[in-house]
Amino acid sequence: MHISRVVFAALAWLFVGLVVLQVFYAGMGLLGGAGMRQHVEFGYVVSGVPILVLIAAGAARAGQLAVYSAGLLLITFVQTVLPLLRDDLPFVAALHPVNALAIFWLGLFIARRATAFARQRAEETTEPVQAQPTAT
Amino acid sequence: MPVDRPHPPEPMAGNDVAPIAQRGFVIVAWILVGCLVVQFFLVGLDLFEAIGESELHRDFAYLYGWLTPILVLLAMLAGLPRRVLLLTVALLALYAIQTYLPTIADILPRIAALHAINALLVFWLAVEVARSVPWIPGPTGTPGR
Repeated sequence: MHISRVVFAALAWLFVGLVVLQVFYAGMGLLGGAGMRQHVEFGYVVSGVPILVLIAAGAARAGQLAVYSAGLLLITFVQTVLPLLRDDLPFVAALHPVNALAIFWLGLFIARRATAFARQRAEETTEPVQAQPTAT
Repeated sequence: MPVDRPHPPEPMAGNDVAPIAQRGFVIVAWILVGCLVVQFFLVGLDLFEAIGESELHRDFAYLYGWLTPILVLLAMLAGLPRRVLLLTVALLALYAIQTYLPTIADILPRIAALHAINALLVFWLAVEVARSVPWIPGPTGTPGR
């Protein structure tokens, strides 16, 4: 049980790290002269990680955090769809950076909570057993 | 033996100014957060050319950028804790860096590319700052927590 909580927290932090890297690739595409190809291709890699986060949340029996993880999976999926709407619904496609902000924020929220969740269990298991009073 | 207890932060101004400044700080901080969300949407509008070629994103940044020095001023007037004051100064510094980064895109493109990550950092810090100050000041005009 404890290992599953640690894995859940680790995956959540991995996702946050990948999101930051993905945002850097966006910056490289816009200002670094690298083009958007790297950002697009890496986006599909990043969007797969919330599935693992959700599975780990379920395995760790994370309760409400599992619901948040499902939400993270949903908005990450939406993120991959938004740029495809640029021709038909450009104002909706323009929500791509705002949704990125939401993904970053929710990812960070889940990672912080998952860490506390894992630590909580660690403290429970490492708590010293009180010595029983013995009759003398 | 008397024990030295940490003193609560002293308001720099009189008690009548500090609570008003604190409420002003909270209002301005959340307005800044709202402007940052709008700013991210404007990036999208420019990026996906929803309204043709425009520089809305850049122009809007200069419109609300002055909120960050006002926050520092209000934090000092409200006598907010040192941590909040430092975070507010950091926010001002990061915002200044943010406006500078695109200008070096031609000479240092990899550094300029940090503009996007720094935007995340500015947003995160702005929310932290806004959340760290309560609406209602403490009994002596100092923050409630």
